[in-house]
Amino acid sequence: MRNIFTGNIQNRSNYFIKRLWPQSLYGHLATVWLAAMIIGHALQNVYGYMAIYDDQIARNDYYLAKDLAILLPQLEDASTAVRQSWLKQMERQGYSYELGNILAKQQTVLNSKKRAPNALIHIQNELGSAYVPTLLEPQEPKEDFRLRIQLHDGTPLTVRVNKTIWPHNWGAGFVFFMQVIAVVTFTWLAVKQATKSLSRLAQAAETLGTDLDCQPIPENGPSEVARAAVAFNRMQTQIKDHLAERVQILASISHDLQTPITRMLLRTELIENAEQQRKWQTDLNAMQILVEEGITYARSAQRTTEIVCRVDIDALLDSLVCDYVDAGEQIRISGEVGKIISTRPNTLKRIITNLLDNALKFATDVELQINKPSPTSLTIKILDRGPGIPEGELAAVLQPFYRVENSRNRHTGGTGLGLAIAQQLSHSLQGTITLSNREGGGLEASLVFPIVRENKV
Amino acid sequence: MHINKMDHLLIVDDDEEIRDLLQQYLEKSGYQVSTAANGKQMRAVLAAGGVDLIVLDLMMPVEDGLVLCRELTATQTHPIPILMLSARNEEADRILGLEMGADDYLTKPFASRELLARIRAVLRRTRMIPTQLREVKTSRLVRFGEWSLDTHARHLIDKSGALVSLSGAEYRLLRVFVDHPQRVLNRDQLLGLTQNRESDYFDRSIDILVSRLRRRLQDNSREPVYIKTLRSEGYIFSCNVERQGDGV
Repeated sequence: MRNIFTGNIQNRSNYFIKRLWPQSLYGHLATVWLAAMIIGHALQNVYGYMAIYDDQIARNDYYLAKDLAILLPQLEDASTAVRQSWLKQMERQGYSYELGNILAKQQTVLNSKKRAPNALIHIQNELGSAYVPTLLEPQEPKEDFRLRIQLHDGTPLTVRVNKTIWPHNWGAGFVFFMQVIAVVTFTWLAVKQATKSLSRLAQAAETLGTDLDCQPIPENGPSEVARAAVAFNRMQTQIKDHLAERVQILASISHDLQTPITRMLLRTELIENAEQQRKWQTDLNAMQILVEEGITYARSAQRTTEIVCRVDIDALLDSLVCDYVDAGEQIRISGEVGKIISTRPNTLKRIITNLLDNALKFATDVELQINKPSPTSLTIKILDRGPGIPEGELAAVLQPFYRVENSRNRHTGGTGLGLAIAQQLSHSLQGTITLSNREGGGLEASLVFPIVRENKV
Repeated sequence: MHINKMDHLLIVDDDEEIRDLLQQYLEKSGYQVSTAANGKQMRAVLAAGGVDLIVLDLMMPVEDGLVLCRELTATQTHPIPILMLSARNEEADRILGLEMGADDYLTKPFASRELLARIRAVLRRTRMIPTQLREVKTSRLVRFGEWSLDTHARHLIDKSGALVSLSGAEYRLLRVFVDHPQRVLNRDQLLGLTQNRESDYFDRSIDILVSRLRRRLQDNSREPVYIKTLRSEGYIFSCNVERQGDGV
């Protein structure tokens, strides 16, 4: 039990340290630097202050010794009244005198402070062997210690040595305050400057994830960051070249395959056996689709060249569904946007077509559902009643050539590129596609993309 | 539809085997077929005359299909319809081909029956509207009322400039209407003209298609402005059609 309890406390304190410890590099640097600066300045100021304080004490005790050397001979032969006037005159802020046996209890100072013994040594040096001062305990809160010196006529002289008041130097305090302000300000500026280029780099890396044609990052800032920026820009160029090369290779293969496939398709007309002819044509069609999908996928990774235009989105989706219905497919459409939006119509059509094809291939009861749009985004859902996709593979099926391990699918054919193409193309609409299994069976493919709306004219 | 004279097709393709196979197949389907491997040979065949339709490959060395297509539409007074073949399945290529004056566009590889259907459809269209064909072909934008029809991209543009998509069947029907304004068209004629391919699954009646088209045009079916119903006769497109300059 105890272990668990202490463990909890440890966890909790770790948690708070983690909470308080800043996450960003900027926060780390600023905290460490600021702490170092403030501790340094504080130490320096405290040390300076202590030095002034010690100096003040030393001076006070030095003057006391000198004063006593002057005062004592004057007191020896004087009348009581003269003595009193001398004592009054020689009184200072740091010490005062009193004649007579004002305290019976004589006790040597046990104070561990160095001040009293040091002062005693000074005074003894000044007075020589004529007088023997002794240290006494302080009697009042403002006193540090007392001294007793016996005059030659036997009258005791008591010296009350006051505690040194801490010097309050408002000017120095103000300067310290300004120092702290300056340190905070410049720490903020310097660290901001150093991390600005880093956060720019991080942002560029994020942008690159969705947009390969984003602007190269300026190659300036601190030398480490500048080097990283150069490397980053080079990487961006390489990725772009790589993708362009991939598209080029696929385009070449695709183009070179098209002529032989065309020839073979034409040659199937010469095949007498109808069954054989049908099989040849089926295989060749499958090859052709693979070639086309391959090149479409490769191109979809590049920035689309299609321009954004104002589109009646309801007509676009409805006419798309009508084409399927005219071809004998069963698709229902529900909901409407009722607005003109700015988008890339052919890209959008291709995405929806691929999602519908996928639903029609594996399931029945296909529905295209247009959700009531929010002011900034539009959600189009393609719903079906079919086998769905195992939860663990929902994200993977959006990858090219991935097929769900299900005997049903192998026979249904398909290139395994339809969803990957849709996913890639959704990026050029700044949109996302998410798949989920529906309650009661079937798949829901949801395309969400930002829109700028305007009322229909 | 029986025609006394055999239709004469000219196949222009740089691939010898495709030329031969196409010739073989189309001759078997009842056409007279000539072939040409390049622009030079094409011009020689055309000089002899009698060609009804040209099947033109887009990707050819030296003079490609687009160049030849532009030449054909620019120089001939009674242009021969062109069916363009291309290895590229890009919307932009299709539109470019149509802008250069092609009547239809087919992507390689294609099924031979698909080609045959397209050839028949293009010839049928040419026969039915011989005088207006050229006009239709060269004007990309057709204006009527508050609408423009883009005959290359195959969509409508409303008065605010927004794009209104059409399904394939809707486009074909509207195209028939704007090609025959102020003329009564019965259901059989409409069916014949809108059926582009033989393989078309077309169980929807013309009436349903007309009501869909009216919805796209925001045309009130009780008091339609564009497509009016003539009881027991058919439909009439009762709006003036204005053709904009061609894109060439």
